[in-house]
Amino acid sequence: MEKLRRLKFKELAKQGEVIQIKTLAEHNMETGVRRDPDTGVIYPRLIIQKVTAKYNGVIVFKANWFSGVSANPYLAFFVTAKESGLIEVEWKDDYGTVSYKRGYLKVTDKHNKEVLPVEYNI
Amino acid sequence: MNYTKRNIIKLFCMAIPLLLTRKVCADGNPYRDRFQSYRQTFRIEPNKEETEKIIKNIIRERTISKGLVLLDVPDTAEDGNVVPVHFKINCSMKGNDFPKKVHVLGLENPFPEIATYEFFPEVGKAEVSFRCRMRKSSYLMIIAEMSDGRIGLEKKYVDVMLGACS
Repeated sequence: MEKLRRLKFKELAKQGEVIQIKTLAEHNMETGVRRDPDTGVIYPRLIIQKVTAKYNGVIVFKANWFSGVSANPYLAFFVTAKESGLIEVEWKDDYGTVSYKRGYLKVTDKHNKEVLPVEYNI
Repeated sequence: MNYTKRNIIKLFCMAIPLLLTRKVCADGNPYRDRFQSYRQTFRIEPNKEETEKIIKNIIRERTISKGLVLLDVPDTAEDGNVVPVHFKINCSMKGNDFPKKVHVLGLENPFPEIATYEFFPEVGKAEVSFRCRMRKSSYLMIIAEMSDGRIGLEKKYVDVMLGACS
């Protein structure tokens, strides 16, 4: 079943503004130190190890997690808005399975015009 | 295999790098349990010597400067499974004044390292909030490695009502 991944931030931002980005992943982060109460079998460790955030293809933030992070991990960090573009977040599992979530951030300047990463004339 | 002089010398030569790598791995390396999922370890008792070794390995004889880290944790956490942590690093994210790596350690957890965060100068603020697990009521420590070699350290005692089994 597809697990829930959530990414939330301000849709419209001014240039130079610092915006908060909140992420949430649905994962029960098995620590590997828990036994089945009846049979005594150890539940094997299965956690999210790495979270990377990219802003227009440039890595902005990285997190390495160990077994001490809570289940359904929530993470909030900050990014300065320079130009409008994609914000991508990637979660990497213990077994290397990767899940993505991305969203579009629109950035405007003083005259309420969108700041695009590439200038072009049509 | 024949026990000739040549073979014995070969064996010794092979053993030297093995011994060296074992020494490095045993010395409280923060990335020591990278292969934990394959080794299948089971540990509940915290190891105090190891936490000290890990902290020593991060700081590595650098001096600690005060007032760098602001840590915001509740004094008493009801559930040890979900302890909200919020930290901020006092710096102007410009030039050489930003944190390269921030370590979050829960002393007296069976595996004391909780998370490490890497920052890049594109980030506006060095501020992160997340939730962690704590086994006992104990200290939560944050060590920030700045890119110009300074180190900030802050620890706070958290009273945990119901411990997590991590």
